[in-house]
Amino acid sequence: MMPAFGSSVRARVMWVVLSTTFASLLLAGTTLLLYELRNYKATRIAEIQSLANIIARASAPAIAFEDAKAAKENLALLGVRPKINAAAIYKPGGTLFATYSRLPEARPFPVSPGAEGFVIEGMRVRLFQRIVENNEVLGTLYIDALYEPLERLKDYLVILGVVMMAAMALAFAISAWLQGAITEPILDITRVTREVMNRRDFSLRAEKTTQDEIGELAVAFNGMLGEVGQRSSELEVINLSLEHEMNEKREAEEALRQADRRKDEFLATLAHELRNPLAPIRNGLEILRMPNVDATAAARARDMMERQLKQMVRLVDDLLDVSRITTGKLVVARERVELQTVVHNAVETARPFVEARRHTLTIDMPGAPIAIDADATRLAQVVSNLINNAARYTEPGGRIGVSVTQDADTVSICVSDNGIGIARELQSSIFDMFTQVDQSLERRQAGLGVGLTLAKKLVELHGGSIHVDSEGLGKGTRMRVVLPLTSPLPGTSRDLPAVNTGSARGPAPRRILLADDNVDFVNSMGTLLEAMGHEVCVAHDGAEALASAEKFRPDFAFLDIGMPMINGYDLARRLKAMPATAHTVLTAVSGWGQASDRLRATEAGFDNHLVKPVEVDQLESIIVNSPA
Amino acid sequence: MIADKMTAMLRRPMRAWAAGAGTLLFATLCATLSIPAAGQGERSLERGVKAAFLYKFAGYVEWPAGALPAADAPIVIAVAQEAALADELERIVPGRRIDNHPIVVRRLREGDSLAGIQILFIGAGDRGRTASLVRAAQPHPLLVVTEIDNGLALGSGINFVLHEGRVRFEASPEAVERSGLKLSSRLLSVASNARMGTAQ
Repeated sequence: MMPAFGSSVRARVMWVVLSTTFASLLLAGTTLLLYELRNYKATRIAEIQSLANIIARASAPAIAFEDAKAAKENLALLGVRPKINAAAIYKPGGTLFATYSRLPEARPFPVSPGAEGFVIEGMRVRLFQRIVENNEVLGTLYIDALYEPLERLKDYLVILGVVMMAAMALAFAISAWLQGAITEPILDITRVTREVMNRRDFSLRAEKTTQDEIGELAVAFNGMLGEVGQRSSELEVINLSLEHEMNEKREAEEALRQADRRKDEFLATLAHELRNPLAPIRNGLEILRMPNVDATAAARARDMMERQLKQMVRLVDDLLDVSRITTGKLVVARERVELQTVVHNAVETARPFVEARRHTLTIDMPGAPIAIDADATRLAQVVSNLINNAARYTEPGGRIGVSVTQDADTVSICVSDNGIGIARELQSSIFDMFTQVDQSLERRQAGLGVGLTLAKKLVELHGGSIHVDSEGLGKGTRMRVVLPLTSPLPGTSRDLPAVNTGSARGPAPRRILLADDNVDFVNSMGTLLEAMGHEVCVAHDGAEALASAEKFRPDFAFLDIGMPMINGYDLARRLKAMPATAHTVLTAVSGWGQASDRLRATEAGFDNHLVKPVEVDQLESIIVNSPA
Repeated sequence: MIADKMTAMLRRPMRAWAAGAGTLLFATLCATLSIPAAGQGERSLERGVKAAFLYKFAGYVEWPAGALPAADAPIVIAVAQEAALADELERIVPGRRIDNHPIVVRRLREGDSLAGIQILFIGAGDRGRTASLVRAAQPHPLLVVTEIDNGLALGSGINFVLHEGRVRFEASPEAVERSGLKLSSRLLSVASNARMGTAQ
């Protein structure tokens, strides 16, 4: 583990250099010290030994010639060596011959000379040396000298300390001078890193100043910076697009919520609108049931009931169209028609309501017939819708204008009024499903909010477009339908087939079988057909229908698909199989109008397919148009 | 005062040894011996000391080449005018060797040749005879030792003296060198005249 010596590379490098220097110096110093200590002992002993030799040799004549004074003087010469504590010469017999003591309070001399050699005792060394001359032992020299290795050591330690400090200072200086080569590039990279962190700027680059590992580090670091920068910008782009998507999703969600809210409003309105006609109808029934009701009152009640019923039928038709729009099954059967006729029919359909609100209706159409490819019923529905709207959203006694203008390759149908108008901010959304122009709770002009949506869809199915134009609230509204014009009609409008408006001219009497488990429906329908002069047989389930058919031998059979006992498909197959009914015209009446349903009906042997709700006109149409 | 001066004088040769130079700087030195010199017993004790010194002198004398032909040629100590000392000397020397040279004692009589003698001791006695003997020994490579007052003046190399009842000796390196011999400076260091500070 690295010692906690600063946190910067500079400090660490310094620490490495200084500690290395210190360690090597310490090792060298210690070795030197140990060597010196050992050396001190050797030299000290050798020194004392040689001193002893000199003194011994010098003192030999003094001993030989019994000159104690001279011997004493010889020993006294040791006084020039301050490290000699005491010295003495013993005669061969062991008696003291001469002595020397550096200090007066010196230790007592040994009573008798010891064995030759030296003994180190703490801070002194004691040495005995035989004095020999001419192979004759003259005596023994004793020297008591200071032995101070620690003193010596102290000196050396001081020197070592000074040298060490000087060396460390030198190492410090050199390291400070040289380490720039190592630490500078690292510090440079560190600076760049910090800059990048602080400014989040990945375009910064570290400079490659060396060719060593640090240089490689700088290159690698730059590479990483580039990579990080690229990824960061990619991330930013992704983030932006995510944000965008989030916004879109939020908007879509909001739109969905809005649509949901509109649907709720629609449902509330629908319930209300459906319920509204029921009360007058029930009142009418009550009036008709009264025993002594006069003919005028009864006729008024019937008229009122018929109006209310028509209103309900219209609502339910709209509702069915809405479901067709939402499931994408709204189709138009286009054929060549004369536009004036279509507009005229639409005006006739809407006229009762317009007149009920006492509006003035003006129609302006070119005299020459305009031919277009359109579904006459649907297009009339669009125009009557627009007129109905205009009548509804204009205060009673207003003005409503319908005009047709022809351009080079388009034709425009305009429905204008001087009614409540449409606020500008709502003009773009009035074609959305369930949008109510009047959004106040106590709105007077109730509607389902599907009319314009339906109109727009139908116009678009005709390859045209619908536009709204209003100066604002209270300024009236102008709706404009633009349709593509087909090539001019050859001949006159007399060549055009008459639009089937469901006229009630009496057909030839027929034998008709009606099978449906909805008893009220099938009975009332039967009554109506009988009133038209047909012979009718009614059945309330598949088995009954089959049984009746064999005896009744009908020309036409209208069969409900979802019936008890035998369903419509099986019944059709059996009727086709029976000789009595093999040539009966079979018509399926079902709640499902999809292509697969129609195909299935055809496969079962049906000649026609009607989608509920079925009106008597539709039955009549089949009866009239089918070959006898 | 005197002691200080002597120490100072002694210190010089000590330093000279330490430096490895063994040249003689001092001429005559005297040695003191703590031997009482009184009565017959004292006289015999004095003779014993002188005999021992005489034998030990041989260790500090360097004879010229030829004076001692072989490495184990005996060192002849001749004793004149003092038979008792010769006796004492003969009692000491057997078995002793100096530089591998055995010691032989010879009693010198009138007319004996001085050839082959290394050390000649002339006992106290007639001063004129002593002087003539010293003179006769002069041409020979031998150390003349006397025990007469002012003996060095007669030309002897070493002269025993009594000082405070102890046997000491004076030495004259010049006289010794005249006979072709050399006295060791170490011997001179214990010679009594060296301490007096007088050369000769």
